[in-house]
Amino acid sequence: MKHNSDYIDKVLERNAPSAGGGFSEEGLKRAEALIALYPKKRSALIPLCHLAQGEHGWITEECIEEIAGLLGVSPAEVSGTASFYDMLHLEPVGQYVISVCTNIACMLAGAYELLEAAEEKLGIAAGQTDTDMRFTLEEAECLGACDTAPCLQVNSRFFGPMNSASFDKLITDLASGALAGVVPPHGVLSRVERVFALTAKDTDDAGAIDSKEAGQK
Amino acid sequence: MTDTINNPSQAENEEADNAVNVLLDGVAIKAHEGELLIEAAERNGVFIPRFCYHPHMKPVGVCRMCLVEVSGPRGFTLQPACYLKVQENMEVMTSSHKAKRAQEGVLELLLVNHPLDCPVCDKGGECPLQDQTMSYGPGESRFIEEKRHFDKPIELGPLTYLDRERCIQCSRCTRFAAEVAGDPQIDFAGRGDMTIVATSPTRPFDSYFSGNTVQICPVGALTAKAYRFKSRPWDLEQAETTCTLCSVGCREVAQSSAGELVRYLGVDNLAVNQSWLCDKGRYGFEAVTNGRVLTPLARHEGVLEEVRWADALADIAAGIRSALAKGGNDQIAVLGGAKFVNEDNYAWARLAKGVFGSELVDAQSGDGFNAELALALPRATIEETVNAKTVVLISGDLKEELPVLYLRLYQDLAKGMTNLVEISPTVTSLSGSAKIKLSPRPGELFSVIEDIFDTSKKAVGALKDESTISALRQLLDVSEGDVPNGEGEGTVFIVGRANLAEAPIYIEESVKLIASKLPKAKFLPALRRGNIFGALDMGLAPNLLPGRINSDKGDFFRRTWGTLPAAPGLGTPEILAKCAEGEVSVLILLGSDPLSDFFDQELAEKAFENTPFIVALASHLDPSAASADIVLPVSYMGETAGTVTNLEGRVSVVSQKVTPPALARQPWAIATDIARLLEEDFGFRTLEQVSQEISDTVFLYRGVSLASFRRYAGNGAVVPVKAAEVKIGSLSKSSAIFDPIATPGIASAEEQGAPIKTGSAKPVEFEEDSLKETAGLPGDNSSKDNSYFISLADVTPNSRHAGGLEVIAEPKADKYGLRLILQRDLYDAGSTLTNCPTMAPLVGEQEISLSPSEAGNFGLQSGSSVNVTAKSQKIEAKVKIDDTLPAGVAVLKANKNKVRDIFSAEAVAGDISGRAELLLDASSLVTDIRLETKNEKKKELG
Repeated sequence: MKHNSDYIDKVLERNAPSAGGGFSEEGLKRAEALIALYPKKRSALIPLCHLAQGEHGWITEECIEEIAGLLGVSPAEVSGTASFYDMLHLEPVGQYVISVCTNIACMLAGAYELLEAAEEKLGIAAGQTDTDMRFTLEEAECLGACDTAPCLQVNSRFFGPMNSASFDKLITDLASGALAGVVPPHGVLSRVERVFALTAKDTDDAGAIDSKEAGQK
Repeated sequence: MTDTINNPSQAENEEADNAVNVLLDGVAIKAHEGELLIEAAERNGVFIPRFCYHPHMKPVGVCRMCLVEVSGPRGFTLQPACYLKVQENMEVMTSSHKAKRAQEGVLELLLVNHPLDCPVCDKGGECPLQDQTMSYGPGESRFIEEKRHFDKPIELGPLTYLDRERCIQCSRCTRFAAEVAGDPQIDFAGRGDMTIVATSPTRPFDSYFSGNTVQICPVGALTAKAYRFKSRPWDLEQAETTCTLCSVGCREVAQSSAGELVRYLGVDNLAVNQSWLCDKGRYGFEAVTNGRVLTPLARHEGVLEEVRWADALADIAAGIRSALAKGGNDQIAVLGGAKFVNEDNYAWARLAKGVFGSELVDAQSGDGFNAELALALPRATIEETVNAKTVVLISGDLKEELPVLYLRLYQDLAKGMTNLVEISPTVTSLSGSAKIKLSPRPGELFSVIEDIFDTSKKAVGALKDESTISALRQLLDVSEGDVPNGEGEGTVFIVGRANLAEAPIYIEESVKLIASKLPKAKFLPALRRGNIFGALDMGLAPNLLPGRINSDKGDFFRRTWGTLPAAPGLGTPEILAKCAEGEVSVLILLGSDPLSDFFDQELAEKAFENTPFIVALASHLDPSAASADIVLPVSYMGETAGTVTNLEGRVSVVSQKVTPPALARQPWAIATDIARLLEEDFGFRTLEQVSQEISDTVFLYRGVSLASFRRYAGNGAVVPVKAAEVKIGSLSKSSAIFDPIATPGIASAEEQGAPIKTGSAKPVEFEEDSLKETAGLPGDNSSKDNSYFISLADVTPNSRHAGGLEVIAEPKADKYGLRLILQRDLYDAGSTLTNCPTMAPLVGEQEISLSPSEAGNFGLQSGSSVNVTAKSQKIEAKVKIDDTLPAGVAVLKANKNKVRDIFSAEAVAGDISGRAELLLDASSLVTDIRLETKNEKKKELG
């Protein structure tokens, strides 16, 4: 089994969220493979939403239609389901989606000060995307990394504990591309292409899980 | 879901031995096995408050309003009554302290975010949330924080607004869309207290049934564009009536405010529409106040001018007298009647056949099939159809033509109890539910049906797969090998015209073959127009007299009417051909509009040019009325009273709610007046007298008159009514209101304005034989009701293609051409929709659907426009690529016209020029068209 398939390589090349469009040809093949994992097609709804987000950075209208067609559900059910989850985006987001946790552990450790600093640094309020579509800032509920409070995620990769200085450095590193190996484009959950059922045969790839350590450096 | 939900009559008949004993609020009651607690309680007079529960949908138990205390192994616990089935010895407390506290808590929670804007809310005054808060609510709220806010109103679809702040997330609308209508275009989005009902960003909520969600919304969240801010519920008057916009005949209530129709709501008629309506039926009433003909008009020096009724009628009588002098039988043609009620049609049939003696009478507009055949077929009811073992659809798309019949079938098919076989040239809204789908090309239908019954054939049309063919024959009860033939018992065929560009002889011959091979099969003829079955039953068809009898059995009518046509008569295409040849002196249009509606527009235009005297009875100044010499204003929906007959043969009452505008009158009175001017007295002074004459003289309608419906008669009566049921005044028992929270006040509809008052008719019981004698009918066939009516053997053969079966083998397709399929859709440019301000924009433009390969051959993209030509006519259409179509055919839509906004005269829809009807020829079996792309000449198909 390949650690990094051609498909993943291709997805990792995207360095800006796309303006729209449907699944790529390879994406459709991945979609079929994902659907085949479940006894009922409809169960693949959320995996397909992640697949769409991996390709485009957000779930485009074309993908909503395609997912609905693939699963035999209505587009309203796809967008309705996707809208339930904060991690699924139905509108274009920046290249880096920064989710600052403000739940209780992080809050006590200074999450709101961090969020304020982030807003000042990026010049946008939580929930907004900057004009050149680089950064989206959002307030998140518990990210499950209370040991590193206050923590945040960039494209689902963990960083923490953070303060305003380390946040400035994070932004500088992201902007310069220094963290390109750590933070993949938004929506890419794994650099491992799972090929057999729900367990990847080969789990020694570290790309997807070492970002947290990288952030602490 | 339990059977009792959809089949309460069955539940009522259940014996007491499988009843379940329940102690409800200390009173012992008997419930049906498997019945939901909320239903059992309601049947026994205990109303449990509810929002999400709807009797025609699966229970979900999401609103929690129906919490009651129920005994169980752990003592009494709170459980939702809508989600709980009754069990033996169950003890229920619906108003205990705990239950009341629970109900108060639920209401307080719902009101946390519900705005208190009742004074400006459409629902205020008839709002289940308001009402149930008064009855079951806590009295005051502890909530002092700010309520949530949303943008409002959201335009959910072209006819529906959503006010998200008012929504209580009961999921009635989303469940209706998914479960009942099969259009799951709306769903919940978001989470927690910010949960909203939303469409996908890609598609609006444009379901044909969207109005039902407004009706069943228990708060003011969903509002109808047509009714929004129009009236307050306490200002409404209502009359229960029957929809006349298609032949399903949905039961509904017409509501008016200050003398103007403002809203229609569906009424629970379990046999027909189960409280649902389509949007055309629900919002079509807007046409009542727009574009109406208000006074009689007569043409003077080429211009229609207002005249007095007396002058118009005198002119008509003079025209008719001179035509009669030339021979009434073939000089006066009468077309139409499907928009009128039975009483109108009876009076006009009597005038046309019994006074003029005309052979040129037809209510169909060439878009159906042989009326004698349609009436002779053993008829199924809608209930029989949805409960059939196998349903065979040989007709157009039911969703487009008979929407509520589609709704009933869709729900039934979803349960998987019925097998559907579809034989239709294109993919329809029910194809997805079909076990087997055959797609005969235009001109191939009959040979496909022949192949099915000829078991020596190894292929059926294009279908070659042996196991599918064998399954098909098994479903259709065709004997094959050792499998015995059940003669079609339990099979219902829905038969109609899927393609107006294919001559009706194909479906006629197919139906005759099916009826002869499967003598126990039943049929539901899918003729679409409003009261077409009433018009045919009243004799407005060639060779038919009132009561589904052939002219040769017309001695009784010859005696009482004075005369009858000498020859069998002609259908609309032949009549128009005669008009076009200048052989007809007077053409009378009974609400029909051949210039828009007839499938061969050139022929209709020529007929109008060459007929010297045209009289139109019209509610709206449609193209045909605008070309007539005299236009008589007639009443329209909501203004007319009488009875109508639907496609099952079900007679039900149409009630008048508002006064016809200006000088408009009801057509039976016009017929009576014209007869009087011709020195014939029908003796009709009131509508009830016409109705009584139908009941007295039309054997099929014995005992069925307005008087017999004078009590609440929601379900109507299917004719012929069995003698045992014919007790005047008791045709139908009061039907229950199944969703009381969505149909406020309807139980008392008949007291609030229905014109049917308690008459003088005494309850009479009579035997079938005495019926026949009093009607002057032959008394020898006393035991068999049906032997008197037209039978399949009596049906006059189609004269138009007298060559018979040889001719209808598939004609050779033009090498460069495409075979045309002309279909109807719900939103066509008829006078109803074009006069509705909110619905006129929905009339789409002319689209030509092509298969991807065909579009490729012609180098056409989706959305580009193309010229379509046939018989030296050219129209323009927008290309739509449809990958379900086979190569070699093209689909166009009937009656697409430029639709002008009635207020601004701007074209709002139907922008592409030219009507598909220009391309058709009434005398051909099928139509082949050619495509011309804009810049280059047509390409060869190779």
